[in-house]
Amino acid sequence: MRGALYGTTAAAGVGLLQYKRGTAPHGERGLLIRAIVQACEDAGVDPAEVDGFCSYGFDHNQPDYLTAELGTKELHFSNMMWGAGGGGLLGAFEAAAMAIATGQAEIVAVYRSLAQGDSGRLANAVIAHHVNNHSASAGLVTPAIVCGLRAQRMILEHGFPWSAIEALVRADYYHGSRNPDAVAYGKPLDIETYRAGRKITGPLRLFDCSRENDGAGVVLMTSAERARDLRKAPVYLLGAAQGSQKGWGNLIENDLDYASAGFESVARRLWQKTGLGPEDIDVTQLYENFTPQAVATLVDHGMTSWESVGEDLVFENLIAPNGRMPLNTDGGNLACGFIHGINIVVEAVRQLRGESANPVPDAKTCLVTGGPGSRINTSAVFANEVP
Amino acid sequence: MQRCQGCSHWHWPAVSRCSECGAWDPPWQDVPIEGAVFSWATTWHPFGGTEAIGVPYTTVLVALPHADNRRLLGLWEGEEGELSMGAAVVGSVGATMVGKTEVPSLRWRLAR
Repeated sequence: MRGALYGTTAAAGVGLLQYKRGTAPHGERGLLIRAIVQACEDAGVDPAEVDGFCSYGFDHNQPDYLTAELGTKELHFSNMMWGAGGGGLLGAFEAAAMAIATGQAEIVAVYRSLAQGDSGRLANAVIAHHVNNHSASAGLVTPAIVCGLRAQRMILEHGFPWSAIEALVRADYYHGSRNPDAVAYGKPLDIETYRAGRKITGPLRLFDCSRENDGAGVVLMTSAERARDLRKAPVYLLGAAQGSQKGWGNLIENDLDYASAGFESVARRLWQKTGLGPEDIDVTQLYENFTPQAVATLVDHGMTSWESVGEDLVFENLIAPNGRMPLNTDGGNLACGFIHGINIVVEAVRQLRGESANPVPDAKTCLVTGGPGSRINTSAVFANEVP
Repeated sequence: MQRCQGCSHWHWPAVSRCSECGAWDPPWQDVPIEGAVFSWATTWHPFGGTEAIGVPYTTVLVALPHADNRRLLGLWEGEEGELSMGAAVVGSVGATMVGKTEVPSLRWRLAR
């Protein structure tokens, strides 16, 4: 049986502003207000009508700071998704959908806003939730090293070929170099440059790591019914899932399924809720903090297996328009930009509307994943029709 | 390491309640500082907070067979090339400066 939220809500508008880290012309709130107004113009609704606000990653811009500038008529729903990092990404959409489907709010802005000048480095905020004395005493001071340590175990346990990682990076930069909104626009990355990237930690080199950007991203959610009357074609949320299985969490590197991205229960429930499976997905937007975690996300969702990663993750398979498993069609967190992951949901909506810089012809379904390796992970499936 | 008085389950990180049987405040037991290499990462980028360690350094994650393979972190005292999955290692207690605070830390090396 499908989940109760199946196809009941839809993305009706998107807004995205992105700048190089430390160069945003406005503070976080200014960026966010502009992105919300942009999303409202995209949808054709008055910003004053937005009555719900959802975020994640401990965004600092809570709704009561926004209402004065938006002219909010009435504020009905305010929600922060727990999970220190981008792991909460699709959980914020699930919360928005629950609020709309149960009549708590009509139009909910799901958002993330970041400006280094206001909140410092994103990495430092995430670190605060991941580091304790035991890990710091071993030099484990940042998510990059946690992911490096886990990636090394993936190599030891699964023995997957690094060619899969290289294919992913190449696909990201191929798409990013063709996307005018991407940091890597006009700048394709050749594989020799990737391989010559300086070592960061464990098997991770420079181009295995996501960028941090200043910016704000907003997706406006409303009921499927109302979305059909708005300016753009609705992009339905078929389902979302969040959480973790037993033996995964705040365990100082003692997670049971350590050489994974931690999506076992999330992916299983996502497929249950949507009545879909990996074979039904036309395009994927992966949250990539670091490349091995992105590969593990695909495995966790059954899009490939550790045994077949080398065959499935080849460049030609991963790119639009003709790849069998196109992903990160805006360039992803590596080559488009990284505003704590909100970008990839904006791209999911654009792709399913036919507005992507790298369109996948006839794409009807898009898998979006948040967090890989986070203590709380989240995923969702969006679609431009309700099958 | 912490071991439940009710059901003998080993716990790490420390808990106030046993997740398996519900007993409160599991007591601590001494275990030998020895185990098997579970994973490792050598860090080259000088992330903030690692100044006192100095790059490159190798973080190692070790499974302790005397505590049902609960894993502890530490710094590797040998060459990275000596590391392999499951390699037998022994540890000693040292200290690492984290910012301005001295924190006890484990230092691991190959068992001889």
